[in-house]
Amino acid sequence: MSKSLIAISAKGLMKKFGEGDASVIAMNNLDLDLAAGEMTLVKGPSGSGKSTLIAILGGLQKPDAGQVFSFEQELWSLSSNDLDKFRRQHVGFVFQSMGLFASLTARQQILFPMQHMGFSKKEALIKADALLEEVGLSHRKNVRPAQMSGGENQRVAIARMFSKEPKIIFADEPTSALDSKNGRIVAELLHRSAKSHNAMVLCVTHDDRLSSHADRILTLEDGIISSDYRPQPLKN
Amino acid sequence: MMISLARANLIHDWRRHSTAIFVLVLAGLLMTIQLGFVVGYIKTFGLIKQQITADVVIATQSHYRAQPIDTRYESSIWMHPQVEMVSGWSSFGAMAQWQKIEENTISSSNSRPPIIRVMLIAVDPSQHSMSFPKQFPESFRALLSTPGTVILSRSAAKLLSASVGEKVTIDNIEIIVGAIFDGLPTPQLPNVFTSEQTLRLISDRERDISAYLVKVKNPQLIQQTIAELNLMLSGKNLIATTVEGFSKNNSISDIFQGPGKILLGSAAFALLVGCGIASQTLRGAFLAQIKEFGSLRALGIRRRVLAGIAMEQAFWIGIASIPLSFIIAHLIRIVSKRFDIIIDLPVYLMAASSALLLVVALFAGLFSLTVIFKAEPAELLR
Repeated sequence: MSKSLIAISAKGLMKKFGEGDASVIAMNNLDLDLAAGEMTLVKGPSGSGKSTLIAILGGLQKPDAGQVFSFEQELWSLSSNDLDKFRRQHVGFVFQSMGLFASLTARQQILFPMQHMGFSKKEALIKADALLEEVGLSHRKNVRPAQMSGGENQRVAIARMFSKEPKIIFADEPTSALDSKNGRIVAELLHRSAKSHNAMVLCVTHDDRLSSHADRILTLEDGIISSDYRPQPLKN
Repeated sequence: MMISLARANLIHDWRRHSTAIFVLVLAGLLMTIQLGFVVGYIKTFGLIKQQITADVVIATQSHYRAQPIDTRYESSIWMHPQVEMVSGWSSFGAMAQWQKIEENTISSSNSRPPIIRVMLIAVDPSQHSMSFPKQFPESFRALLSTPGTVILSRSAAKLLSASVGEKVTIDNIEIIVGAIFDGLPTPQLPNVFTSEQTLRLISDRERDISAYLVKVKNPQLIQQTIAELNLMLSGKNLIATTVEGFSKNNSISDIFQGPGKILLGSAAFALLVGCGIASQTLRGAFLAQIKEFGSLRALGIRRRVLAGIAMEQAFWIGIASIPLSFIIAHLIRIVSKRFDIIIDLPVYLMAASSALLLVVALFAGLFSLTVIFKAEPAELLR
């Protein structure tokens, strides 16, 4: 892997929760390089530190020790405002809970954050419609979350995340609550964003259906990477 | 068009937000109605003062309470060449106990008629009187001149269940109700109009003079006379003004006295409670969306944008509560009038209470911001 392709590089990450006998080591001197244009899956049992890894790499939770480098910046040396700015410019998240506002239509879910990211109205409208088209929901643009399926809502959340064209995408259990069809669509969307937008996609999952879309699969146990391999590409 | 998440949330989840609106309407009503009581109460006090027929009124400069006047200054007033007549006037009514006369003298003490506290207001019934109320008909002069005769307003008569010709006792002195008239509603205790002579029959306590009523020779020179009198009286803590000015000044000072003060305190308390409950409701609404706000933070949306959404939501809740509060307050005013309870809701009061309601809603929004600031995307990963 050439150095220029590295989107995120973590060195010596340490994270412990709780004190004394009740303490849990979530990250144990972990080193990791993640390349642009690749979709990496992180698997492992509950409590192995998968979500903590996303939180630390995504600038959401500070490690006890270690460094995270991305776009020539060390994230945890940035101020809170600069970290916000970094996330705004480069990072997209997909959560299992989706985080869609019940009061907004699919189109408005995408437009609302865009109007706070410096997009002009016209530009935002064109882009929102294009993104809904990309996730296959252009016919549902005026529908609110309550009238859509879980899979459709997750696709709206992905379209919202795509609106800022992030180069780093973190997904936390994005398909676990979806049926097979929607799960496959979401996996394809994430994979496509890695390939066509040259984004780094890191996806925490228990869902084996995603494995076929992954370029790399990591297994995390007790805060360390216990396996790291690249599955054979599927033959059509 | 800009998307207003605050408005969209309010419309979509109106049931949840209606609690906050309802609480604010209630707080606004409590405040508006109580202030309406104060204004109505003051207005009714002012109404009596407005009945004075003097050209100039000279009273102390105190804005907080009618003060007794130093009577040595009367001679100074007479020194002005335009002054034709000066007479002392007391706004200090005498409180007394009103009781109906028992028809059956052998009845037990348990069935004695109740004692009601009343306010005795002395007016001079003479032809040249400046304190004889404007709205009293001429026939009242003769009635009031008869010792032991009193006159009641319709609202006071209702409170006292009194009728014309009825004999009652005031502080154990038998008097007769000479007439009942419409107007001058009772602000606090039922007003009983008497002559100075009848008042002295009932209460021998000396009453202080709180104002001098002045008649000027040339009514066209009233303003000039007032200015000159004020120059003459400077340094004596007295101020000359017209009847309207006197009535207005005293109305403002009355706000800070007695029931006015209590009602103002109560209105402030209502606002405080409204603010507290509305902020809790808003907090609840924001807590219900904590994951959604967290996802915005994950997208890199700044905290101040989220704070703006919270404040806008609070603003619209305030806006929604204003007309509701306005309509209900006026309905209460109309109903109260039927029971002789004067609630006055002038435009300035409605404007001020609307503005206050909005401020309270915004404060409620401010207090709920802590929830918004807790919207951390890391929480969504658990």
